[in-house]
Parts: sequence; C-alpha cells; structure tokens
Amino acid sequence: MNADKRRFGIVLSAFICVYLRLLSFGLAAQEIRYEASHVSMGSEYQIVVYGPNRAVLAEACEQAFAEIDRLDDLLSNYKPQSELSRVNATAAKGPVKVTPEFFDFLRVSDEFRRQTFGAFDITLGRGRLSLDTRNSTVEFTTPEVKLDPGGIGKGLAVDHAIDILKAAGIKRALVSAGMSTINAIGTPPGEDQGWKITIRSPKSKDIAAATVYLKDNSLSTSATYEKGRHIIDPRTKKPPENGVEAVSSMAITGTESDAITKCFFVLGRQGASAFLRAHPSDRALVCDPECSWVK
Amino acid sequence: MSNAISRREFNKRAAAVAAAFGLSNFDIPELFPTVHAASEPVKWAMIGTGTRALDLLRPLSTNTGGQCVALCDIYPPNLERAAKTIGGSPTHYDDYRKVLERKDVEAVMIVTPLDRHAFMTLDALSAGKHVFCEKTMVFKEQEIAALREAVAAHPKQVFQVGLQRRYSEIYHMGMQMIRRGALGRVTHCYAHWNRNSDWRRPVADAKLERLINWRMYKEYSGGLMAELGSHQMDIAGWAFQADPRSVIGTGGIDYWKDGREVYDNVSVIFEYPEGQKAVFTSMLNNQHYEFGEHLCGDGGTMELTLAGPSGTGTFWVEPKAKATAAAGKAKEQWWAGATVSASATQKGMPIFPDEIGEDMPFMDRERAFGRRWLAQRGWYEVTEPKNPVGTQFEHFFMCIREGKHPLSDINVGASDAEAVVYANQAMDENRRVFWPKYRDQKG
Repeated sequence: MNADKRRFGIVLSAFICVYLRLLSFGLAAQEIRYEASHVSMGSEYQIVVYGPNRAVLAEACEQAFAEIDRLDDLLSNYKPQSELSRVNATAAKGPVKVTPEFFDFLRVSDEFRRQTFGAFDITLGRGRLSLDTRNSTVEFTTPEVKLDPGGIGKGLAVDHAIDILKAAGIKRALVSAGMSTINAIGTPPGEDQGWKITIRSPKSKDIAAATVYLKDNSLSTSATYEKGRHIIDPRTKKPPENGVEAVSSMAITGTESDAITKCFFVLGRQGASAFLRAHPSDRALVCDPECSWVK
Repeated sequence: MSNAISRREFNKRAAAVAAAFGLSNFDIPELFPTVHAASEPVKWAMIGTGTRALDLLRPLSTNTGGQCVALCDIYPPNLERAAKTIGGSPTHYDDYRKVLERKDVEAVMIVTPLDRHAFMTLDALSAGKHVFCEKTMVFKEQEIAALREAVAAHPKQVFQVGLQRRYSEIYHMGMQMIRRGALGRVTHCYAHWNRNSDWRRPVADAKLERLINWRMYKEYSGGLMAELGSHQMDIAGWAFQADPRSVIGTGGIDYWKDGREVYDNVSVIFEYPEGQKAVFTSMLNNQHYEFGEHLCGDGGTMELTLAGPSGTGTFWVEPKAKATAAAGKAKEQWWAGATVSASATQKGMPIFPDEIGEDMPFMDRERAFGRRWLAQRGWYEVTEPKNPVGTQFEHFFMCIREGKHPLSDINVGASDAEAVVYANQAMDENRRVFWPKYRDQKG
C-alpha cells in the first residue's frame, strides 16, 4: 500500500514537473513586441522592444523617451533655457561653469574634432572652444563661435535611450531617431544576423542603396536629398565640393556613427577610407553619387 | 457652371491626398458631378430674406445655374436689401403662398426663422417645388416624420438642407481620410462655435423686436444649438457614421441678461453607440477660438474649419504605442535615411484639396509641389478652393437639372435636427435624453 502510495507520489511529481516545464516553455514563447514613438529634437523617435512583460516594455520606452526629452532640454539650440543656449549666449564673454554632463558632452565632441582633424566640429563660426577640465568651464575664443548640436545630438540621444532599455533588462530593441540614427540591442526573434535595415538611395526613397544588419551597433545617415546641402565643412565654412550626396556609417555607438557620418560627408570617399583604416570596426557607405562601401 | 469640379478631377485630388498620407484604395462618392453648361437656369425664389439670406444671395448672384425670379419677406427693408444683393428684377412678395402659386418658380429656398421651416417646406413640396431649406431642418421632433413622409411622397423633387460643410472639398478630403484609417479608431469630436457679440440685430421700432431678433425667443428659435451647433453635429455624425444614443448638457443665460429666452452659452455631450463622444460648446462673450471641429482617433487628430477666408484642414499623426505577440509575426524591416524634420508633424500637416496629377502641365505640377513645400513649413496656408456656401447651390441646381440626389438630403437633415432638438431638451429639462430607439434600453 505504502509502495503504491510512493509510486503514485513519484508519478504525480513527474507530471507536475513536466507540466511546470511545459508552462515555463509556454511563457518563454510568449514574447511581446512593443512599439512606440515620440517627437523630440525635431525628429520622430521610434523604439521597438521585445520581452515577456508588456508593462516592463512600456515603462522602459516611457523612460527612454523622457531621457531624450531631458537631453533636448540640455542640448537644444532653439530652446533659450537649455544649457547649450546659455553657453552660446555667454561663453564669448568669459569662462562659463557647466554641469559635469554638459562638460562631458563638450569634451567628447572636442575629441571627435581632434580625431577627424577638424572635419567634425560642433562649433560654428571662426574660433574654437577652450575647455577647462579642472573647473568644468567652457569659453569661446571669439564672439563668432556658437555650439551646434546637430552633428551629434541625435546619436547621443539614441545611445542614452539604449542604455535605459538595457538597464531595464531588455535584450532585443531598436531605437531610431527619424531614421537618421538607428541603434540596436541584440537581434529580433528568429533573426540571428540582427535587425535588417535597408538604406535608401539618394535617388529615391523607394530604392535601396544597401542592406545591413544591426546587432549591438549603430547606423547613421546624412544626405542632401532631404534638406539640401546643409552640412558645412568646419574647416572652410562652406558646403564640401566632393560630390557626396549621402553617407551612412556604422559604429558601436550612435554618438560615434552620427559624428563620423558628418565627418565623412565633409572628407569624401578618400578621407573616409583613411579614417576607417585607423578604426577597423567601423564602416561607411558613401554615395558620390554611386553608392559603395568604404572600409 | 464651368467652375463645377468633375468627379474624375475630384477623385484625382482625393487620390493625391491619400497618397500623401500613405493611404490606398481611395474611392470616393460623387461630390461635384459635371453640370452641363447648356442647362436652362433653374428659376428660383427665396422665402425669408434676413441677414442669413444675404450670405446666400451673394454667391447666388454670380451662379448662372439659377435665376432668381421672386423674393418674399414680411419685412420690407429685408426685401430691399435682398433685391440689391441678388440684382436682376425679382418680384417681391410678403406671402410665401403667392410664391408657391407661381407656375414658373421651379425651386424655393426657405431661409425663414426656424419655426417656419417645416410647414413652408411641406407646402412647397405639395406645390411641386424643389426645396432648399436652411438648417436646422425643423424646429420640433414631430416635424421630422412629417417631412420624411412628404419628401418620400415627392421623389422627383429635390430636397436639400443647408448644411454647407457637405459641399466643402476639405471636409470631404477629411472624411475620406477618416474612412481610410488616417485617424485610426475615431473616438471624439470636439466642436466649438464662439462669438463675441450679443447676437442681436438692431431694432428700429420696439414692436419689431420679436420679428427681427427671433433667434432670442424660444417660440421661434432653437438658440445656439440650432443656429450654430447644427453645422457641427452634422460633422460629428458624418465622421462617426452614426446617430447619437443620448445627450446631456447645460446652458444658461449668464452673460447677456437682456430679456432673451435662449441660452447665451451651451455645453453639451453626445454619446454615440460605440462610446464615441461629441462635445459642443458655444459662448457669446469670447471669440478667440472661433469655430471648428477637432476629430480625434487613436491614429491621429484632424482639425477642420470653415473659419477664416475660406477654411482649412490640418492633420496630426498620433504617437503610437502598440504591443503584439511576437510569435508568427513578420520579420523586422526598417529603412534608414536622412532625417525628415518632425516639425511638420508637430505643427500638423495641411490637408490639400488640390491635385498633383501625372498628366498635369510641368509648371502646374511644380507649383503644386511648391505649395506643399511652403505649407509644410508654415509659410503658405492651404484653404478651401471654393466657398461651400456657394457650392451647395451649384449642387442644388445640378440635382434639379440632372435628377440627382443631394448630399445633404432628408436623412442628413433629420439626423442633424434630432441632435439639435434633443440637446435643447436635455438642457431645458436638465436630464439625459435618449434617441427614440434607445429609450427602452437606457443605461
């Protein structure tokens, strides 16, 4: 009798184990795709995330959008109350003390300027930034200097959004800043290569110039087809005359892909090639006007 | 009638807008069918020639589809002003029955105080006339059925209600965008019509007060709901494609305490069968937000108005958050490219009534593209190409000559009149009023 009871207990336990196992498989398979969009910095940001819990996904997206808005308040050059506008208004008169975060933004931007021999620069006008690390101050060397966050702001915003999603435990996500900078975490379900991105041709929005897969890296694009020749060579203060109509660059972070894209637009194919030899993990599609990869 | 827009042309315009918003399979009903220029002008008479009549007579004075042969009003100064406005030599009457007796009068336009619309329309239909009746179609609930019967009994006579937004190209574009899903699930209509005036006409002799200022008195008038709100409740019904289920509201004589009997401000909420709400507010002490309708759905917002010189339409995309089960869904497919500024999305995209056709001359196409470019930057205002107040008469005459059915027909007029009558009832009796078919299943 006892043996029967024991046997029954073992069978029951086995059933329960199998049932729980099946249940957990079922739950794991219930991955939800959550997509949301938000307008900030003059662009529409889109986020797609995957995960088992809708509330977690929604909350993570909300926080990411809030962070993008916060950066807009910090870096906007059209909001007079932003820290960037405050610096633009006063830094030609003397050193301006800035928040550590803003100082870091200036330092990173200046590092890109140094690495690209001035082909990327967040300042407009003749003159330069003078950064004092010890006192966290910035000063413009001439009254002509103004900060323009356009070359790097969206890339930075996308990176911050990605960090927030990662902190929320999300393993599969894509963040797009109006298609111009796209950064991805992991891969979408069933796509081991990554997130499939079609880069449009300068000739038409319906023609593909190339297809890439993003997986823990970022893609940025700049082109003349939407806003005309709006990118200025910081060295000559004029639009570059190198025949480039569009550049798409891939790098680990959105900040970097955004910055090098602007830089390659100015440097053209040869300059991009020289830069990439020193940065083998990055690559770029240059359309001048024919589109091909530079490595 | 050379200004009339052909169906083909209108469809092309609609298709251009549809394409601009990424909508497909855009089919649209006949809005402005071609009118044959050779048609004999319709001989018409206007009954009631007060201030509203002048608004109608101005576009009618240049409309070659009709010819004014008679004007009728019991107040001679009104008749004189109307005659000057329309020109020609229409005969003057002070008894509408005399007008109806005239065999050569094919159509009448009833632009009298509201309490007279129903019986005059019934008499005109009996006399064999085509009828254009100003909104609101009727004054009392029981008049609706009588008019329905009469219109059904005279199927060869055109009966059209003066709800001119039904003849607006921008409103038609807007409604077609809604049908094709531009707003997603449409849940709310916010409508307002505000003025900064006492809404009175000057009266030379106190004895004429009730005649001239009939809008102030409940014996003749449905107040703000009938004179202003009726236009907008028509839009809510058009957008939702339904009649309301119930209405609640409040109104008061709170600002202009001058002996008037109708409210000087009203706030009403209509509930539709699927839970949609239409909110209408009106006041007479502030006109900052003059008039217009906001239609809201989970996919976007649309503002339509005939305010300003000739009206505009604007569309905003609603940020979307949507969750779906990932299993079995299509693969992720994204495009990358240079940023399109979202400022247009934030400001709203104009609804363009003009076409960009493939067969257009090069310069016309360039101009049309130029207008879009300017409009999206806020430097060019997209407006209604033709005043719908005038267009509704082109349509009326066309329907008479070609035996067509009007857009603002008895059904449109009846739905609109019910909304007005029940909203006033809800405010007057301070209760929720249900539409007849829901009265047995309240709650």
